[in-house]
Amino acid sequence: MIDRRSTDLDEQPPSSPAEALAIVEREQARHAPDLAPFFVLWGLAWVAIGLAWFGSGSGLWSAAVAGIVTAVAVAGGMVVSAVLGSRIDRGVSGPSRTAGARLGVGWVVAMAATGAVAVGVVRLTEPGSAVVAALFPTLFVLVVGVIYMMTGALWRSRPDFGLGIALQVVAVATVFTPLPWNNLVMAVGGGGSLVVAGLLRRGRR
Amino acid sequence: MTELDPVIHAQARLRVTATLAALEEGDRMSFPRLQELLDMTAGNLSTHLRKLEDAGYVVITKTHQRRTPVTYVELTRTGRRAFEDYTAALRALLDPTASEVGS
Repeated sequence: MIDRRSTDLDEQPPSSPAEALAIVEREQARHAPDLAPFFVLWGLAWVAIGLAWFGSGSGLWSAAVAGIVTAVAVAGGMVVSAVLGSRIDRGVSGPSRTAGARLGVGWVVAMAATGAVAVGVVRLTEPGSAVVAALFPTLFVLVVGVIYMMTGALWRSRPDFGLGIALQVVAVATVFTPLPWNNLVMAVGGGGSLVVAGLLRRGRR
Repeated sequence: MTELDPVIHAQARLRVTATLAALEEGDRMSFPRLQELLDMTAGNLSTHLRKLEDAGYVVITKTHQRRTPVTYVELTRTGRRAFEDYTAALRALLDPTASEVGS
């Protein structure tokens, strides 16, 4: 009986054209994938990593502590990203799903390659080298900035394009800032930009 | 007066069509996911999908993923076109000066 009534209601046309358009907007708004958590997650990870190395550089704690914080932040970020990523477009298959998967793999490859380059540089320097301490914070921010600028341009996303440029400015500012303050520039400027970008995204939904 | 497509102009089918139209062209959505997003019973959703299928607006494919049967729903090109015409007609009704709609 109740089923019958609900089916009848479903058959009803929307009460007005405005109501019909509102239904369309409501249904379609839900499908834009919510990427805000990725930005906030990695922004906070960068803040933690930058503060950890700033503390280590200022003698507050050892480099081992900063290394552990970095490893935990990166591993945690990757696990949470993988879970969030697999939930995007759940139950959808087709070309855009393939493109989305490639994008996810692409981020991992880009970060792994950047990390490998950094390790290669470490190999050539003395322990505790200033080159390494200056290079590491700026390198990842630079690569991430370039990626956002390009994807923002392709997807016609002004916020992403702007974020990409802001991150590159932060990367350059980081490498020109004396140690260990460069880590603070990376944490506040880079991590802060990502968190703000995530909150702006959430605000626009 | 513009005729609104009666296949789409029913609350349930409008919701189904709008949801599928939000996917990129060529993408399809599994039946359970569609059901979850729309919060409809399986029977009710099937009924409306059949009407959309009869009109040639959706294609329903049954396939297997790791031995589990999965049903996918996809908007056809005709269906996408009909949805675009429908929303254009709605906008024209709301603002008749914006486009040249026959009297």
